[in-house]
Amino acid sequence: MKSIKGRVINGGSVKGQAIVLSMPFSFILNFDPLTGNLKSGYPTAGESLAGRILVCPGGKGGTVDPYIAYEGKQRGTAPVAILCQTAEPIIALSAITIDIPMLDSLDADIVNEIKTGDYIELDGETGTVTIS
Amino acid sequence: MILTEQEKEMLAGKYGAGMQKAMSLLTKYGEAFGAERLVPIASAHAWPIDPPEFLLDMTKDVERLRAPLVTTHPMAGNFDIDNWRAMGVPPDFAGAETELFNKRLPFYQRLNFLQTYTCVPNLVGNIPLKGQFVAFVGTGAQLMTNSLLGARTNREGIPSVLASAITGRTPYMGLLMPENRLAQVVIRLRLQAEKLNLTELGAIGYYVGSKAGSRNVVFENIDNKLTLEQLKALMVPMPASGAVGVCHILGITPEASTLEEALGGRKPEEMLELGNEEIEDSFLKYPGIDGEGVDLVVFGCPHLTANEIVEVARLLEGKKLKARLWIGAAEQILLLAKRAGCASTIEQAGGTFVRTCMAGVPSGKYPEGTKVIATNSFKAAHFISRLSGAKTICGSIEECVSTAITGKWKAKR
Repeated sequence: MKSIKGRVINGGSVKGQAIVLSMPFSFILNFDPLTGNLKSGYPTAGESLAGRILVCPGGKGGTVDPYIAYEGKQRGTAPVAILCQTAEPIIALSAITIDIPMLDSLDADIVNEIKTGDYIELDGETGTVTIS
Repeated sequence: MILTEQEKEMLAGKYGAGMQKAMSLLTKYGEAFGAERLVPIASAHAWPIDPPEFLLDMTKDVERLRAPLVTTHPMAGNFDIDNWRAMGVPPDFAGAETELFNKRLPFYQRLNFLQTYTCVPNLVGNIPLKGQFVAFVGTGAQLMTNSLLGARTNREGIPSVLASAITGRTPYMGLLMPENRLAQVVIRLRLQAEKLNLTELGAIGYYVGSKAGSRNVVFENIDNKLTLEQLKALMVPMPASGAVGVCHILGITPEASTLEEALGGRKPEEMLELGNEEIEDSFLKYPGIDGEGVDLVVFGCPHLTANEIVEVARLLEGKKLKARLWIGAAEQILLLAKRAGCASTIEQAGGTFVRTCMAGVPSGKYPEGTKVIATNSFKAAHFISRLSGAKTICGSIEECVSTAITGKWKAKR
């Protein structure tokens, strides 16, 4: 059990499995809203983000990203929360638009310390992440 | 974030659920990036591609837009509600888009969005003045508005602009703050910019974007002979290859009367000297082979001015096209070209005027069997080559027009 702190970009609390990405992420480039899977071209293509907590180094902003995320949310294929090391405006706006909890600036190297499949509890009021 | 009494009431729901949601989005967004307050905007430029359910939520109980003026960006993904058949895009795609378009339209009409459907809103009346705050989508529109007009917009996302249109506010951060608008990269040209054609100017812009990234730039030796079309061609590719938000031109743009003003007295982070080699570098990324077949020629990234349409018409006088030709322009500008007698020349040759994003963003569909696309725009070439799967060639207006006539690429460089 390990606890880390971050900055709250969008509040709310959620529990779930982590999916950890090694590279900056964009919904339009890397996410298929029909399936919830990472699209081809991404190193871990085919893995699903649906219902999981997305852990990534940051975003790489496509203008349409928030609406691709929105489509995923409506279809039930979107991630349920986002943890990223450094948020750029578009990934933050995506989380705010679909109103899922999001933290950034975490006090740990999340991309290496959290593993895909780890069970995470995210408290978006206090900005605390607990990994078990 | 410190809010005014009225903003607090908006956030508390006193002005209805939609206003509350829009205000909540903006305050969260602003807080995430260090904004301490919201500021009133002079205008907004919105991308009318909102999911209908999101639009319903955001406009619930909203009686009027609080932004004084709101124009709209082009239709997305090569969909034009009136001209998709002439464009030859797949009917199933167009059918799905038509349905979405018709679901959104009542919202935009009820709230009086000015449906300009162009990526150059400055040409059709969205002309904020120096120092005014605005919220714009469209990286080219953002760069031109920041640079040529000296009005201030961030590189906004689509939902944040919708929220700004509704509330009339935007978070005070980023490129709205004078200290973030100063030039970081100084560029000197080894050639005379006014002697270059539009695509060559675009080649310079495309190279600059790849070197500058998200930094602001200043050109120090471009003289004031450049036309609006030339400045547009130079600037617009910068946020395709990079993410440039402000491009000052010494002695021409409003925040760069001296190099000291443009740099804010700081030392430049980088100096670039550019000439023919760098122009060639851009062209080599989208090369054509003489004689290869071209299926589609795309003009209008960014949308053409009336003068540019006159120029294309002059080259097409009495000709018939073998390749498809799509020309992106605002309806209002097209009207000028019709009255000037030149739009019909292009249409008789076989060209189609459209109000879509000519770069095909976000995921443009093309007529079946489209394998090679030629364009005079490096921004279009950048996105088309990445989004369409077609081979993309970038050349001058003259090269593209003769290619559209013969159906085969012929370089004139």
